[in-house]
Amino acid sequence: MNKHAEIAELKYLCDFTEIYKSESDKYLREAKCLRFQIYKALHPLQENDLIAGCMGGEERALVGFSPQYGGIYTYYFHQDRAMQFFKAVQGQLDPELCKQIEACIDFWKEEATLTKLTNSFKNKYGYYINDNLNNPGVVNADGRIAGTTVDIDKLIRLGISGLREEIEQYKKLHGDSTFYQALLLSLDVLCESAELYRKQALSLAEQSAHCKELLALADVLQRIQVQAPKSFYEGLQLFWIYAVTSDLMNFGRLDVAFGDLYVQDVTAGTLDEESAIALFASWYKHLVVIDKVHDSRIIIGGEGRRNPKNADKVALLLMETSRRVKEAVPQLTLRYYKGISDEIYDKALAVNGEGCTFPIIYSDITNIPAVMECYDIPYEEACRYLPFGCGEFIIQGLSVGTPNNGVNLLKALELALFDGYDHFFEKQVGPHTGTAHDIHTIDDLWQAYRNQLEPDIQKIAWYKQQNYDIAAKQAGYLHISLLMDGCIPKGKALLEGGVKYLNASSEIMGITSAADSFMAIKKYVFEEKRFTLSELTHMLLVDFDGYEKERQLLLQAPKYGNDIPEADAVKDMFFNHIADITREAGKSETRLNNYSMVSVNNSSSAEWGYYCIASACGRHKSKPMGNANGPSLGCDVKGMTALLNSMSKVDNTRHVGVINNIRFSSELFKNSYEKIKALLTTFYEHNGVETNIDVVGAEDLQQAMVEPEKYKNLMVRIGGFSARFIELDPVVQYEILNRTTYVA
Amino acid sequence: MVFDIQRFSLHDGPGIRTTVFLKGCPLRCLWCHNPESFVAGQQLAYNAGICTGCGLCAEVCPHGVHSFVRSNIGFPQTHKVDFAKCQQCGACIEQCPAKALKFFGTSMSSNDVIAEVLQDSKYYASSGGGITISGGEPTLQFDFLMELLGLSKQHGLHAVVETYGLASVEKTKQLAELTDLFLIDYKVTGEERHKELTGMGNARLYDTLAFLSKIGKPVVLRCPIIPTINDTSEHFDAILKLQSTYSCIEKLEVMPYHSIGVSKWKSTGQDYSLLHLENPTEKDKKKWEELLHIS
Repeated sequence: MNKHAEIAELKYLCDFTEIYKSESDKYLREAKCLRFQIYKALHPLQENDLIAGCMGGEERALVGFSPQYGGIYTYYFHQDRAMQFFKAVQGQLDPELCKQIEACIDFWKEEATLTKLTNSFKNKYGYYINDNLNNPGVVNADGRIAGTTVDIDKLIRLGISGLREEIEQYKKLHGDSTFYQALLLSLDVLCESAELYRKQALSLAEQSAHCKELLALADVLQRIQVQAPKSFYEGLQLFWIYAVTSDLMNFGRLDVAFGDLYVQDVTAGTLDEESAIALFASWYKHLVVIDKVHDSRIIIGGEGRRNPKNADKVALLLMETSRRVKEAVPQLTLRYYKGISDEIYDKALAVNGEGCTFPIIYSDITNIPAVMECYDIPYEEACRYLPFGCGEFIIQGLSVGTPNNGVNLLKALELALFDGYDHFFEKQVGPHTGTAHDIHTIDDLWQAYRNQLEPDIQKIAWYKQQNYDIAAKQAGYLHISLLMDGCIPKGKALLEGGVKYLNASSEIMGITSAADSFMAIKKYVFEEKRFTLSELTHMLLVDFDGYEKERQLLLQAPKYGNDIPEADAVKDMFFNHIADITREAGKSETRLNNYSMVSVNNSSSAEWGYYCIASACGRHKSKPMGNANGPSLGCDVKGMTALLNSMSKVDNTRHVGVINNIRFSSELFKNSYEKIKALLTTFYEHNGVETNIDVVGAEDLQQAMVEPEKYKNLMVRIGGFSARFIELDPVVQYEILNRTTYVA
Repeated sequence: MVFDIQRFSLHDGPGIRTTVFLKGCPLRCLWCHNPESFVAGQQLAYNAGICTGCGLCAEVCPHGVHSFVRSNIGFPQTHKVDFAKCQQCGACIEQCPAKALKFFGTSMSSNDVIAEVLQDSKYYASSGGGITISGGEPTLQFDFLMELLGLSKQHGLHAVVETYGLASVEKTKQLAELTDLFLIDYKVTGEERHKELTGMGNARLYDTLAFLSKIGKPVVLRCPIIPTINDTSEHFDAILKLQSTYSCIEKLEVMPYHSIGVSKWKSTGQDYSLLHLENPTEKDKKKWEELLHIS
């Protein structure tokens, strides 16, 4: 960055701070900040854009408002970068400006939402909680308001004008408030974004070969400011102006939202399939720039849609767009249900068969009853369940479901074997629960594991409540509040009684690796007495150097993922325990409606494994842990049906999201299509939550590591997100490569 | 004696199946890709590719199966395995840190086998699959085979038997009562040539096919095509003639030669004589299928 740009960034910091300080009411302040930042955050329109609105893709402003951006949420502040810029240009600035910048930096050091959050933990527990996984110990946490998939269908049906009317109506009923005023202002911000792009479209049109398209776009941008969308194009553009202005990261059931407008336009002859795909593709282009690979979920299909026939038409369009574009975003997700049309289901499998990794398929047959029980909600509400981000469930328009912490069960088992000492970081981090000499039975080990884990689970649950409480004091989350059921009618902001269900989730890593390790210790140390626990812990400390025979033995212990009742039961024990203590901590430490675990593991199972010593499942130091609900790497050897049987044993009423990665060779998928279809259908209809389907051969992955330039389009599913294989971190590539590919 | 249970098996009959491989075979087909099935009992296997030459197996073996020859400095020792001496005590397998040694063959009860097969029942139901019993030649363990089929029927499983069709008509009759579909291998045309390449003649096959036609039991005739060995017009003509003669043959399947079994010949201490053969291409397979009018 050149000096001129750095000075501009620092001046922006000062201006934003002035706006922030100028208003003491948090709702009005947020509206003003939102308005101010669009001019900085929104990228200029490109000549060939059919849909306007782009942002992100590079480092953001030094300060700003965003519900979840980067885990430094709400009023975020890039302190290190601000200091670095300031140091670099200090000499060239007049003293008055220097003083102003210093004052702003000092102000945000305390005022940034994340600072308030991390300080709250320090004040209660006397230390700062880990903010990343490259730290000793079992847990980490950041700050965010996520899992806020709003009711886009309502936006499309009412438009900005309809929302204004709704607010005015409730204003009359409850009396005016700064919250209602701020909501109206937040609608003005949407109009202002649309107007900004409209002017750009007109200006670009003057000298462009795309003049006709740009003028049409300008027209659309003008109309959505004053009326509800009357065409598919207007609907898509309104949705996107809203999403990009509010930094919305997950989009929900767009097939429902756009279905009626699409069918209406096609019937009227004003739109055809190819034109609609072109509009979607133009929008996808922005998603690629924004690059939120862990988010960007679109849901299609499923029970409880008001317009299933029309919605299915759009579902097909979205799948075809994803097939053609073949990018890591959006994370297109299909909900499989009883009565799904063959056309939709076959298309979904065909797109997966081309190696797109999409659509991810979720089973309503499994999930709706489980969601009803887990959240204790009626069928109609459970039909609004959907996975966001990496796969955490929320109830669209009815809940917030932020995950902001991570737990590593393999590390907890490691600490249990070593008296609370983290041998990777060489630091005492857990309580003194005894060394291997003090552990005489498998029950002793289980107790030590619990003692290492449970206090931390309480702490992060408490911190989760703080994550919401501190955020609620600072902002109303206006754009989200606009489209969450209840906020406008009640006149209450999202986190202050507005949203019906304030939920949250906790991301659990290393379940399988911990369980497989525990199983091996149970069998070889305590049952068969092949070696003592002290001998085993020594082997782990030296990373099995000189103990390859013992490692091979450990690898032969029954492993999860092979439909072996004994091994699967141990994994269920670990799973159910963490699920139960998470929920209990949610009850004792929070006021949330529901706080439950998820096992969705983006790439953290590989990355966090790097910071773990060798484990008794036979895994070497720093090697990846099993991903999500999957087996230890390469340990599923009994065939795909055995793996799916193990995966479907999970108690789905105890979690709010698990993911199942499975990989087929391209040949198998192509040559045995009907059998693969029957296999997947059976899984979805027998307690299978979902599948992330990779269709690629291990040889292709190996070759891609040697000749990346030839495999630029090789997409893989990591866990909760997809990526181009060649762009992944080597640790993650290794994990992907060593998963089992099922061949003919 | 079972040498493998393969779940999610997609090529041994309709739907998703579990294939149970029974040990023991009277034939010695030169191209066999399951040579670990020849011997009826449990047998030792040694994978030279992953042996580290540590010598632990030789130390524990009471029968002198393993010996090591020191080679030039800097190279691992050469491991020699005298398979004939092995008494299947398993001591070496337990010791081997590299997992270079293992047994082929596990003694299992029919109930244990069926219990594992039943774990995938829901997949059979949705895909029209079931159990396939293969080998070796499964009819060599006739009583066990009948037990498995009986249990399969009890549990409502669709049952397929893969055989060379060399059992007596009486036995075939008993099998047919419990079997939904036979996969019958047709290897070589001509009694003498068959003997030369597989170690046995196949005259009884025709009785089997005649019987199955008489009772209307469906058969898929599976034809391993081995380049330079049986990819002759005479052989293809004979296959077509079989199909027109025996009404039980509902379908022909080409099984192109594959070198996948070569390492298993070596690991069980047997010499493989077709090392010079290359795997046929997709194009070859298509050509053969056309010759047999397979669409």
